[in-house]
Amino acid sequence: MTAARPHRAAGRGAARPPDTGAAPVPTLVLTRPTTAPPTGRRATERALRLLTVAAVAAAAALLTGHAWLLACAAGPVVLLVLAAAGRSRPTRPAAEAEVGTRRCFEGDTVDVRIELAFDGTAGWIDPAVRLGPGMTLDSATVTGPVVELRLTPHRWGHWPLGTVDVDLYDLGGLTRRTVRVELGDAQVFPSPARSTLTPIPVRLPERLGEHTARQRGEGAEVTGVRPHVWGERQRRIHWPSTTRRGTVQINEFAAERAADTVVVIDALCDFADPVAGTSSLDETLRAAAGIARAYLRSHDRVGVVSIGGTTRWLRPGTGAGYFYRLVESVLEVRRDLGYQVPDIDRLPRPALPPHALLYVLTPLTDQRVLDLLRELAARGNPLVVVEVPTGDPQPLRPGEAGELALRLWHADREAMRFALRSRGIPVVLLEPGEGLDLALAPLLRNRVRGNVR
Amino acid sequence: MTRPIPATGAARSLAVALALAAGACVALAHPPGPALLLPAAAAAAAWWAGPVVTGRPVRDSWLWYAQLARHRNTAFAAGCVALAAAGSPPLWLAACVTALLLGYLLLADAVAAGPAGVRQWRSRRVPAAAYAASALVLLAAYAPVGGVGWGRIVAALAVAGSAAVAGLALWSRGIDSPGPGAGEE
Repeated sequence: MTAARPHRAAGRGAARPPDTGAAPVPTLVLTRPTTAPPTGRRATERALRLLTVAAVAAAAALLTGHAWLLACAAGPVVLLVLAAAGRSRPTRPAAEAEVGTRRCFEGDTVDVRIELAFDGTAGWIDPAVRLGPGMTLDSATVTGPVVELRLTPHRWGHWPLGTVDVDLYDLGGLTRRTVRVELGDAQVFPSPARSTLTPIPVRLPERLGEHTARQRGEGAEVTGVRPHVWGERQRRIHWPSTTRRGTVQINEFAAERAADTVVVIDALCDFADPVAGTSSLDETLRAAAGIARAYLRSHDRVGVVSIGGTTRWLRPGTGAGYFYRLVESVLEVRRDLGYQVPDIDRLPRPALPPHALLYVLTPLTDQRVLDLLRELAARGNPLVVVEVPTGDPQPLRPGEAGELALRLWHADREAMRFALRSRGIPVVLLEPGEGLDLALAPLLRNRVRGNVR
Repeated sequence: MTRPIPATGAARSLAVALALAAGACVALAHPPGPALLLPAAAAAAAWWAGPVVTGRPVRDSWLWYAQLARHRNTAFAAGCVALAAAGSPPLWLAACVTALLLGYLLLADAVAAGPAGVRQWRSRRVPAAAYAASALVLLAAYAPVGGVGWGRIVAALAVAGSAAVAGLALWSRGIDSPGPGAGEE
């Protein structure tokens, strides 16, 4: 039986063939890094082919004494003579790349413009693109001395965009020069999972916000009526109760508070779905971004903590721009995958404010996460576990043993969920292909409770 | 209207014909026997090596078979010349080998050598000059000069033909203009 295999920072180099808009531009997309190309002028495949055939024919004629073989050499020699230079060749080539944006979301397009400068004339400009991990090449066009590329990043992270080797051929196609252009790095943000629901904890901090608290305050939701006290505003008088009871009664309102939310990301391991091939860490960060965006839109404060390898954290904050700071702080988390046991006690207090609602996004595949959940629950914070799917393991050979093993695996995971729920920790399952709202909807029935009241 | 460049099928057909012609040179020179298998073996090799390699000239591996696969068009053309050199073909067969070889080289250039190869394919003077030079050398090679006083005539014709080819080359160089994709600073 093969389990979902963990993988590390494996870039998908799959690239679509480019749509070469102009002329013959058979741009090649490579994914393996290669050594730097030679900088000087060198013969092309065409020149080597014609020279080889002519040389073999001439040598065979000399060795065998068959003069007719010189006829096989004459044709290639004439082609070489006709194509030979005498005309200008491209010399002193240089290139400069201009990248449209270096910060984007998954699925956005990145436009790259490479301007070539050289002396002389080039008969053919042939770019070859070596893409960075998770990048695909949508189009490549060559217009005069300008190469324009359109890339699409498909995986979040801090990736190199790639490298472009541009071959400059002379007019006869007999020699070429290569100039290499490094495109630099780009920050690719995860596309947030679609989410609008914002479950809240029982206790909300003393900050004005949009969530209705259980305490009385100056909100918009009426919670009851009480006798009027001298000095209170007359606009709040509840006239039906006043006429019924004979004394002036006024409305009572619930306070409206903002929630503190911290998204805890389990970066202890990354699992590839055996069937779909998706990465659990990719899905984790997309879901985390979705949760953070939903709470930030409600003007709540959101923080982030990533556990695994290097522990990264950002104290809760609010504002539309804070979303980018949150995502940027965990963008390097893929490089952190390691075997270090996280020590939650080492986290500074501002990272996990008291009574903050904690979302732990985890595939629940590592024992260390269960220890971490126990520690977090002991702190008293209201806690929600969002289980990120990893896919079912595939039996090596279909049969009864494989089916039994799969059932055992399912039972083991169900037992794990039951253990968490029995401790008062809600566990919601993020089904592949379904939105976050569907997973978080059950949490709206009651407010999320912590262990300390 | 521009002529479309033949695709893989044409290159493969041309390569198989070339291989059969080169193999026939050997088969005709030797008594019937294992030599008859040579054209078949050459045709099988041509089926694999014939289609023009259009990939970018990047050395992905130092292994010999990777190198051979990358340069299989060149190796095939040179191999056909070497195979034909093992026999003494009659004039018509030598002419077939020469014409097919030159046609294959022109087609390979047109498919894989970019605008320069396309320009060469669509030009009439460049292929005509190459074929004229080959025909001239072939006729000179098969001219019956032994023991006859034709040697001087044949030598004079060869010199005149070479001068004509050189002149044609210089003339067509002046006519040709840079093709699409040319970048100038």
